[in-house]
Amino acid sequence: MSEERYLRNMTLLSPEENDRLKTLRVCVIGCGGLGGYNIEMLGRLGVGQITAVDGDLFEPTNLNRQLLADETTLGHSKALAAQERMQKVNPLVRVIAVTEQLTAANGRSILQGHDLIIDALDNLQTRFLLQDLARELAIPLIHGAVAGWYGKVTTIFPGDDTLTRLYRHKDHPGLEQNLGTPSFTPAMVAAIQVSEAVKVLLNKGKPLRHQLLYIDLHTNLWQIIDC
Amino acid sequence: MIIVNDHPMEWHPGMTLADAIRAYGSKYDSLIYVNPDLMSIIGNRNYTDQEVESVVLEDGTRIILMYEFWGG
Repeated sequence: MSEERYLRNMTLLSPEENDRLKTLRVCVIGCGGLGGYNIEMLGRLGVGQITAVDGDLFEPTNLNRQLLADETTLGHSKALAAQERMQKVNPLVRVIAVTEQLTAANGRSILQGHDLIIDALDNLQTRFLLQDLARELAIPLIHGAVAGWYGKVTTIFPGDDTLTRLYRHKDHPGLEQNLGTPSFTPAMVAAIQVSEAVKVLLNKGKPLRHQLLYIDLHTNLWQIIDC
Repeated sequence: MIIVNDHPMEWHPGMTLADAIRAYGSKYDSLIYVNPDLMSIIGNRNYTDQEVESVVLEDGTRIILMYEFWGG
């Protein structure tokens, strides 16, 4: 069963790379729109351990886009829902649920020991905290963000200050406040985040380091911008 | 007065954002963030079709105008 499970990964990943994934630990901060899809895809790839971090509970407004939100999980912990779903999808993956928000007080203890961090947050304050902690702990960070038809992804290695360069107006509301978030944008951005994760974890391909992939699905414009 | 990448600029009614960027100069790097409130003022743009815009300056520099967002 376990060998068959990963058979379709095998032309993309060698058996050795597939085995390596089983030994790695990824921390996903946020289990909402981006985070739910990230966890799903990382688990189906066979990443050995996923830490799912989110202090929120599901509410009806999450149902339009968050993979882990359904009629049965409303009012339940997002992090625990991630853990429970992965038991059904791929029980070979160990999911640790952290049912609290990432803070300066708990951040180091949550993040340390991981090989990679996925930034699936929805606010700038915690995203900057996460960049600082990732730098301090020397862990690569995959950043993703969405609003309406738009998405962006960048990969931040320890020592990079990409978020600081990207976000200059922290006091204003983000565009997502005006545009909302449909079902398809988080799924797309999360898929690219996981692709970046695989490249970083297995040292393959060309990650988006010092580059921002900016996607405008409204006009099908994909751009890579140096940053 | 408008702010483009924290840089204050004179703005006059009827001035487009592209005009403002050109007035700002072509030495700046390729990524320009514009606050949505400012974008909605300049040229009476709305949020549905003008969230991103590309401007090519006279020297060939391409500038990407982008709203800030950080939803998850």
